[in-house]
Amino acid sequence: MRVTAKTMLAAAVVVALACGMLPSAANARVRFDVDGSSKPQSVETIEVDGAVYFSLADVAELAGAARHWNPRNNKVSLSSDRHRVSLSAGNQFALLDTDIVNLVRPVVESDGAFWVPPEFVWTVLAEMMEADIEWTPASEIATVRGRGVEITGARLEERDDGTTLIIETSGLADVVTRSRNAGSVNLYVPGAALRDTIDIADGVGLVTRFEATADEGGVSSVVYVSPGAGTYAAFVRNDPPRVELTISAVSTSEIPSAKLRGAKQLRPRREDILGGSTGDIETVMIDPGHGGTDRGGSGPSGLTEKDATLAVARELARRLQRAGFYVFMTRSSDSYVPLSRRSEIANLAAADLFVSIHCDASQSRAASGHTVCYYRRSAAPPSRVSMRPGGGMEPASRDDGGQASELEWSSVQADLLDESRALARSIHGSMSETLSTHDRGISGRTLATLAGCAMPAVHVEVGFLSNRDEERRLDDAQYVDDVARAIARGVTEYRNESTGRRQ
Amino acid sequence: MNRVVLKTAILALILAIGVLFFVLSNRGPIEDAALEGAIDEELGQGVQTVELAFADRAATGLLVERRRIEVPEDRTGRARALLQALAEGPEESGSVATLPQGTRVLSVFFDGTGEVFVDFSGELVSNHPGGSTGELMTIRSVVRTLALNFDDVTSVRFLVEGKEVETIAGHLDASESFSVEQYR
Repeated sequence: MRVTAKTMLAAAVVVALACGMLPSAANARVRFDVDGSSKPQSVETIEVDGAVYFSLADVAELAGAARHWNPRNNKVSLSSDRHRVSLSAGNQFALLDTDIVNLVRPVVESDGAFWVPPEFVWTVLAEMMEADIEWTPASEIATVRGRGVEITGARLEERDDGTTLIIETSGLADVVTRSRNAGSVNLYVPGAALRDTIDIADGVGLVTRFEATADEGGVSSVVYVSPGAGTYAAFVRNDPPRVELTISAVSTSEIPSAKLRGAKQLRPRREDILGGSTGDIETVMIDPGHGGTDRGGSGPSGLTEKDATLAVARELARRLQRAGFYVFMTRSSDSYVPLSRRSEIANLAAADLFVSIHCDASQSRAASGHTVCYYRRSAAPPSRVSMRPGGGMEPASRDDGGQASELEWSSVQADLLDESRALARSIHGSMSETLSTHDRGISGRTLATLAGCAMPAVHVEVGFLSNRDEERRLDDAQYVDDVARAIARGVTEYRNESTGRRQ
Repeated sequence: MNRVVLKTAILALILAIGVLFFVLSNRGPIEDAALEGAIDEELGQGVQTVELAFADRAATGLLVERRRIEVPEDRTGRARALLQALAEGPEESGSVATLPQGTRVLSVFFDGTGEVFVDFSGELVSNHPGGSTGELMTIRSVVRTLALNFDDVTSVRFLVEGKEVETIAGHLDASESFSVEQYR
């Protein structure tokens, strides 16, 4: 594909040149030198009423943000992992997340492209890049210096239903959850520095100890938890900037005795945390579809997919914990998680199964029912197979996530077709037995969220929000519970069968 | 490379190819003999019977609607006209539109190896009802419609406002092309 696109562009330029259609006078550009990045990026500029304006398209690329344009009100929005910006032509105010930023001069639209004044670069772009940007008008080079997040402290807070660990940071940080062991959670804050070594030996609530140490790439921390700990969820929060890990309690009676024995080892060795898996199916990553700015579909009465999926996921988490699984969620609140990030979270947590929860929708209000989907790769052109390093056709190793190329990473799930299909069958069987809704069967789809999952993965469409009856059902706690129970039973049966096969 | 220049270059290419096809196709009958339908030679445009694939009401499959519409003779123009008709929805009852309200086909590009690039307006994404089934119906109806009317099409790549997109409604990977084999 990439080759084709390139060839197409090259051909386009040749044809355009031949036709004499290339614009003769190119606009000026300002080069942005980003520290830590070897390749400078440049931003096209034009002059409007004596002021330099920057191309919004180039600025968005620099910030790693996607652009959306709403032709009805001529509004443009940029969205990156952390920020959302909206602005409109002729308006000198932009909305950065929830703050209004005065750009001093209005945004300009010209030839279908949007141009932003310098104030945008200093304020909005700087915030999006979490950096300070130095640029003087008339200069051809702008310097971007990362602010570098520092971890300044940590504390534990008890809640009614568990414990929250708060890691205070000097700016917005990134966080990845890594865990292998029921007795601890390993959190990594990439790119961060540590002001002082942190070691909280006096536990609070479910946390018995917390340690943080810095390495070259960031800060690694281990949270040791007591056997009462159930689900974990890590968040990045602002005002003040911090990383939060919420640990929710499971009543002791719900933990099977075998798990309890294992979990009593409160100070596991590092190898236990990051070491190899036992091969047992113990950990399930539940992925509530959509969230935050991504509402997903919505029903005629206004129920949004992001809320409905979270409700089912929460109930499913509770039931799976009761069945003896360790459960994680890619999000446990109304937050935006990019698609590719979801499989990344599952892989880093070394989950044994991945269950994504979605609500279906269609152009027709009449469509209804539940579907269990697994990943089926789009028939790839032959060139992509031979592009693998070494030319081999063998599946990519599942342990070298960091080393694997993008191509291999994205095809991990294709190698797990049989397992994922078996999991889909098991969940589908349980759902069609217990739910009275229309059974749409199992279906192989090129699902972007599942593509990078290095474990058996399914995508459950629990019902059609676009259908009035099903929307009403999905808004009903009893039905949500029925759906969760059916999925949990399917997951449990899959585990039992797979354990049985190995013995 | 500069985005504006690129965009201009792509438009120029599409225009140039369009002109080339117009010139070539004016010299003889259209190549796709499988299609019945009269061509009004004098107008340089013709009314043809085309096949458009819409979704059925239960969103379980596609229903093909045969319709006579006026289409340009060149391939890209014809593809655009077909997809625009698809976007405007079915005439027969029992079928359901698969492209969201307001979706326009901005351009079509045949890459010569069986792959077709179709650039849709932003409404394809912003007005989409969501759901992986709804998304699947959108993709399949476009893929099937192109495959029904152009024998040599093997895969379809979706672009939105000239740009690659990760997905159309949040589920199906649109960063690669959709094969006719799998999505028809």
